[in-house]
Amino acid sequence: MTVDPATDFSLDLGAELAAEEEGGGRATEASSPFRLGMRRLRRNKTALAFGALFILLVAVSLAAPLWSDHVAHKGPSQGKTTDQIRIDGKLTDVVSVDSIPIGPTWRGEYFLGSDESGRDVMVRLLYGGRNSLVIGIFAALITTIFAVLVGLVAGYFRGWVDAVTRAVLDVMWSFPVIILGVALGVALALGGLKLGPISIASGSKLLPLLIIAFIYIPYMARPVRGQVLSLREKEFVEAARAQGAGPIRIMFSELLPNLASTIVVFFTLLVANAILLEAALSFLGAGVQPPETSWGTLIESGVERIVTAPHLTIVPGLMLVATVLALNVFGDGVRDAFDPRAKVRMEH
Amino acid sequence: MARFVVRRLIAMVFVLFAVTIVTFLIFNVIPNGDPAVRMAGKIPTETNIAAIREEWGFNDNVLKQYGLMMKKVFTGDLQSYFTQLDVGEEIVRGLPATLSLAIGAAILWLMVSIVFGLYSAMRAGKVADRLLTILALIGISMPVFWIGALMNHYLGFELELFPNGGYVGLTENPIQWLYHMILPWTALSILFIGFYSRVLRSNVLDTINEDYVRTARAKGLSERRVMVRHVLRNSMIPIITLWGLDFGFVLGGGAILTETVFTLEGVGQYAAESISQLDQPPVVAVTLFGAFFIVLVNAIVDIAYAALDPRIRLEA
Repeated sequence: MTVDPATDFSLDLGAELAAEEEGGGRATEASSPFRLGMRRLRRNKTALAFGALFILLVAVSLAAPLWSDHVAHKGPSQGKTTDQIRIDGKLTDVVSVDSIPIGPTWRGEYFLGSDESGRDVMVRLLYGGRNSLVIGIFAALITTIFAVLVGLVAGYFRGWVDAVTRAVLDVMWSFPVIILGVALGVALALGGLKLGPISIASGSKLLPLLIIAFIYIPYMARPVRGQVLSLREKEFVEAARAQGAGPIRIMFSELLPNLASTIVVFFTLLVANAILLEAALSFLGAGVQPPETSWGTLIESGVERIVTAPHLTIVPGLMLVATVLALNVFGDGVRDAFDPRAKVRMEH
Repeated sequence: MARFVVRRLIAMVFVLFAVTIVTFLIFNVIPNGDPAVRMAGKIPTETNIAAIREEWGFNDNVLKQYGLMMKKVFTGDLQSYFTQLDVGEEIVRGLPATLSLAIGAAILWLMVSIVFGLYSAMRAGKVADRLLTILALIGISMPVFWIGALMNHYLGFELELFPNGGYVGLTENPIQWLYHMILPWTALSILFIGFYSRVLRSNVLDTINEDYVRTARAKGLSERRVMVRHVLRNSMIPIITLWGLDFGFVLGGGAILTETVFTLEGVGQYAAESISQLDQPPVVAVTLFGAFFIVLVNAIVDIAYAALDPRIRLEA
């Protein structure tokens, strides 16, 4: 999928606020672009509201053990088809004799109903959400770190270093995101990964996390490199060099701070895309492996039973959509505030 | 122009070569245990593993292994050790469904995006515009396999408005073909409509302020003519580039999820079934062909773009 929010201002609020600010007197105050961006973002109430929604969803997912211990009294993998629950005074099977699981009870236990094995959907949703969010956020973090490093080095040194990096990134770019993810997922699902001292068992959540992080590197490294190429010609870099600063210092204390806006813009949208890619890979069986759960694996097992128990598909999907929507709206606000002309091209 | 085409095609050959190397690295070189065991899939047998080791040359050096893998893929000698079926034949069998899905959806999402994007831009800031923007944001936040599964269940199974999945060949029965494709096309298009209508909206808003648009209005052209001939045409250029690339993306792999949900039995569903069985040979083939397709479409888009815009071929 492609995003070109270059010109696209979602609810127009950020752009309006920015224009308003330039008209007002406050913009004349000397402020770093980053601080200006923060100020604009603070005034974009829609974006903030959706940012808050995302934080709320993260908090709810983090509270999974609390819900499972104190409200549902069940772990994510506990439950039998013969379990029963008391509704309005009478005992009801959580999975009927025709093996149809009950839907939402709106009570502490089986709040969102049961799955085909008598497990509590709410508990599994919260635990699955933890995995989806952890994978999304940390994959985006790793992508950002490597993409910035690659972009800095390639853009700063230029020459053959740049040529080689660009060639490698271009080839990675040639693979459709989902295909590259699936290929790596299938190749690593049996046997895990052994790279020198690092050894990751098959079935570990780290595998999809690292795969997703790896795949998105070119999507961020390219624009970072482009920015470094233009920044390195600026006077302040020349001044630093005249003072005797070496490449490391120029890259990290001169160039890096100027990349802050780009990094912030990309990071939010990366998290959204990483969560969606995790869901797609897990849906296909090349992501999170059972018994671990994520929103993707929950939807996958839900779709198999959509005829008898549609809530198993609807519930995890709604959580996923709410999370990604919150990130997309917030990310749009961030882009408007920090870097309205940023070109983000990503696929999921 | 001829020079540009030749240069672009040579570059393409290099990328294709690199793509085969990367595919080989992913499946044969990543250090994680015995590649023969992985190739044998989820339920390996001793004889299978021994045969695979011999066939794929896993005891030979890396160069020979690469040669063997490419020979297998391109001579159609690739076989699943899980289903014992020929991978090439399966892919060819699935192509009509995959092509129907990708081509139909691409046309649908382009047309709808033009209508939405243009309407949104003309009503910029008004209620209709905000509503469409919100819809677009929701559209890009929905995984296609989720909304597809819900559409298939509620519109297909419960309300029986549409067939509940499946594919009918175009030459077999064109009416049934269309009837079976409507839901898959819609599901696959939602995401792209979300993106394209927003991109088009902002492109139109940029173009509307151009001098030539003012000139067109000043010389008394009707509003409709100004919008279609002057504004829309110029706003479409970036969209068409995106469209070409995304079409390649859908054909090269994006259709996997949609096909699975609607059981279209195309290449994508074949890939998805192989993936869930961790059946490696088909995944190797699909990875390679998916990437090949993208590289090819990219080259075509570049060449078409250069043909339309002389500045590009002179620059490169």
